[in-house]
Amino acid sequence: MSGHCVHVIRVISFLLLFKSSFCLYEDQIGKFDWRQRFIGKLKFSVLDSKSNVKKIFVATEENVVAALSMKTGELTWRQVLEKGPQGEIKFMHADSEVITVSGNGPFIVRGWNLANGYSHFEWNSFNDADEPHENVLWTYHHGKLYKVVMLDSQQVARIISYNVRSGGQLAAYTVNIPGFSRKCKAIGINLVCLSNNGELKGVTVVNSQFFNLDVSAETKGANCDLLSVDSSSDLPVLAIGCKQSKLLVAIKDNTFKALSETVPISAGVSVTQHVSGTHLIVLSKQIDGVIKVNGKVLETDQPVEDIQSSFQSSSPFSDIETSNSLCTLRRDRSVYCQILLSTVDHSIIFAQTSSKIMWTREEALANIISVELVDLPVSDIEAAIEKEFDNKEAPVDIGVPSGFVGMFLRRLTSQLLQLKSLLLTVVSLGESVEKNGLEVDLVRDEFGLHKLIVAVTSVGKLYGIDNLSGNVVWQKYLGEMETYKSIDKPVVSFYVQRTSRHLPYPAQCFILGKHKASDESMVYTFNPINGQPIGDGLHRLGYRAVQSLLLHFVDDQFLKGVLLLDSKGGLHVHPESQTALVSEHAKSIFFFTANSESGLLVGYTLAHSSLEKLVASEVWRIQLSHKITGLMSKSPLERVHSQGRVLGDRSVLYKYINPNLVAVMTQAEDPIHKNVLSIYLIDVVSGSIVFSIVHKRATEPIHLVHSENWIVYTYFSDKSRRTEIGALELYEGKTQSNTSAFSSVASFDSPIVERQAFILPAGIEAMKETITEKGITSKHILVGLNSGGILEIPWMFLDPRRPLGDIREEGVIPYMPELPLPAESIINYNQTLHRVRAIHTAPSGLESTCLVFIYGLDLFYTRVAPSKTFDVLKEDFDYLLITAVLVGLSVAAYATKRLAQRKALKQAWK
Amino acid sequence: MASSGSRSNNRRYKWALDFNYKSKQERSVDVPSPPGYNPALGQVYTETSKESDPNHLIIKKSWDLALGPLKQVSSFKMIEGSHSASQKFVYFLGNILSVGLALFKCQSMGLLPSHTSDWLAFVEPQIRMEYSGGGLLLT
Repeated sequence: MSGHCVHVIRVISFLLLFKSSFCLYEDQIGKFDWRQRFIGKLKFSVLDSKSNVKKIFVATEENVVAALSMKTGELTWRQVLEKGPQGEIKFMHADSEVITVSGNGPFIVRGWNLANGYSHFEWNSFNDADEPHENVLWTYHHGKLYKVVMLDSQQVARIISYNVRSGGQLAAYTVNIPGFSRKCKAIGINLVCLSNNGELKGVTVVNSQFFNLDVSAETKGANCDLLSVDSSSDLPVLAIGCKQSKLLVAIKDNTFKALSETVPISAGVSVTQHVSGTHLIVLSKQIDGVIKVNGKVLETDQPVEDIQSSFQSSSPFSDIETSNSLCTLRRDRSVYCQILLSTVDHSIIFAQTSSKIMWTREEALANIISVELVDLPVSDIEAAIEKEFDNKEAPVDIGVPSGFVGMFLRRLTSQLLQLKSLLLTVVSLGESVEKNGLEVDLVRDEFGLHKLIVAVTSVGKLYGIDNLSGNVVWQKYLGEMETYKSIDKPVVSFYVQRTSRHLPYPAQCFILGKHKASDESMVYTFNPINGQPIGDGLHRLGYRAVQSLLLHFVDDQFLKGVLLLDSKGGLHVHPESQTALVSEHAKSIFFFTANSESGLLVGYTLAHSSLEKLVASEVWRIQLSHKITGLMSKSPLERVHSQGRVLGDRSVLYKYINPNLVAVMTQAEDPIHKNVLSIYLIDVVSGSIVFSIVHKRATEPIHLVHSENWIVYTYFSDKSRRTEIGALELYEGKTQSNTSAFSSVASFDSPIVERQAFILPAGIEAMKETITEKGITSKHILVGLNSGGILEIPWMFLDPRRPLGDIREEGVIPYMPELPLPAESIINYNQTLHRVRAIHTAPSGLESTCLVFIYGLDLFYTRVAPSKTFDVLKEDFDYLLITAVLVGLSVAAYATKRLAQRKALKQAWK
Repeated sequence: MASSGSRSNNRRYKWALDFNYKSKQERSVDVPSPPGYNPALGQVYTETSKESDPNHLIIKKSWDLALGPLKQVSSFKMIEGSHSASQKFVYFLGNILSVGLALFKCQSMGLLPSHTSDWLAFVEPQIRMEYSGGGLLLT
């Protein structure tokens, strides 16, 4: 009984420890972390001119409905709809409330409050059995929502009108559209279709009145599309977009009116109300990175000089995709327009004519696919000192006497500079605080906590983000490059070839992508600190690379090469000058490829390479029976400090730390067991399957973390309807077969595998382990929950050696199937993160601290200390008290010494 | 040993005499006494004052006790006479036994780093012989 009591107390004390270690004090909110919220690429927008606080209502490709403040561009409110096609926004209208239609099948109609985004109403519209899910158009007119279903087979359009608030069906009828093509748009109360022979057909959905326009002369038989034109007036306007240009067509009094002039296809067009019933067309176009805006009156074709303006910013703009504008008449009868632009690189720009850009939103950041945290370079003064040492080692000698004097002078100057900067910081201590708020120098700090986040987005735009402030330092749009695809996800190969530690060489990053127009691969090498290209910059390779590998050794310029395998099986090194160097190391380089569809894994060696030519020869081949849905190798940065684990009898169980081990997941549908998830641990050098495990009735979402000698994976158990976490741990045994080196090809019995499963009462979106510089700090697992929180679970809780019976080992908690979900271990406290895509962890200069960057629709940066910050003084450390005590003690010691001397003298005279 | 003993005696004598003097003033002992100063008077005075203070005795005794084991370290040299060889051996054996006993006690308490687990923190990570990479085919 007493033993049981002790047991319980131990568990409780452990849990208390666990809780107290993560808490964040109220005054620490936002001190180490920041969050940025995004909406994604613009799809629909309405400029609101009626409300007191002017807003822009937007709906985006990321299924987000939001209101942006016109003044600052910040989110006034945001509603994130369902993920994927279920939440795809089909239609948006903003009037007395924002109305959205989303979904793909059953359509969901929702109404949102203009001011705060609260939901006003929501109803579903189900399709009839014969109605296709696609090709359904929506339009709104005077409190009625019209649903236009294109019935392809019968060449008719079925129109159903609803009461928008209640969802009650008001009327349903069909309209015959003979010779109709699939190119149709619903604009205002009109349904407009473009036939293949260049005829524009319109019909009013309210009274089925037809009208025609022959535009075959303009389209010239080219493949043209109907494009919608954003209009902040009542006049319905659309565009017929062909290869080079687009033709604007307005609908007035049930007739089409084509505009005399065509506009370039890449120009943004919008229509707005003008004086005395006329309308204004605002055209915006990007020329050499500058946005030029001009306008004319739609009815008279007269240009409007007032709104002619051009905008530029520090980074060049890219092509404009959509635009929306709102023009108003000033008292002096001059016109000014507010223009909302969306560009191909997913930025949203809001500008005012004859003024400036009001704000820009970098919405590409909602689609980050790869991230690296790069060390910042040292300050110029320190760099000068480093150069001095560098010169010493330089092969070119200047001659002893001059070198000696020169070096002495250089040392003097650099130290004088250091003194000067020190004095400056001391003198301007008060002033610098304000300065720092605006611009912080990008210089490495003492603890390596200040880094630069380099993010690659799916649209091909790169960003350098300051990790302390969250500000975008630089951006670069690679318009020619697009991403690869791997298991239906956009991917690029992104490596840091050289860090900032090798002065005078700048840091260098490498991105491998695809050329948009051809099948070739493209490479962009750049300096991650400023985004500027290095060497060839963005260039085509002349072949299609299918796999890449960052080499483990550096050349004489401290640059790591990248090995590329092309689609024909040829090998290339980037840069090519490293070919000879690679062939020297060829015997130790192995790589593998995995085909997701066929489940085939092939391993290659470079051992047969010659100095001139690198050859990849196949060494093994594994055919898995199902489709590969995930593959996880260990982080190349990882270091394991402890080589074993101390058991209860004080013997050591040595860890099986195989750096070449890769976890491969396959999923298959089975008639009996439904969904079968298999996990294989494969040594990719020898091609041996070290271990495999099968879970029946396990479905998405599946996430896997692979680190040190353990693997943690999560799946949704269909059988028990809950999220389960499986943990595997590999041990070599009580002795190490080879204490000094690890070789995958050396004969070795299969490792001992410990396994355990746990229940997590939450849905999981992403998972990642923490990483520190030396691997001494214990590991935690960061779990992105679908509720928007990021949970930090100590690995100790997922330890497969958690005993079922009594406690036998020190520091091991008895097994309990449910994992605790304490609110204190949610590292993003109340800062909800939507649609977390991945978590990136990076070591800092402090062993205790791990930097965490979470991306998805929102960005969140923070730092975690899994074993608490044992290597830094707490921030509430009382420097004043300590100094006072020290000074007091030394003064007291001196005083008592004098007193004792005096006393001794007095006593001697007695 | 003898010399050190005499020195300590000397020092004790001196110490008893000039208990209240600082080392700095000790150096000036050779300086002739000032006029009117009677050293005998002072000696008597300090002697009585010392004896009257029981605290000093306690401290002295405690110091002797505390320094006992340290003094024993060099007592091996003090063994003299015709039986010195066997005596030395017995002394050595006795010491070995006491060290052995101490080790056994430490061992039974688990204080000795005798297990591999005690040296685990110093085990170097294994050197990697092969480097691998790759992954899913990029399409």
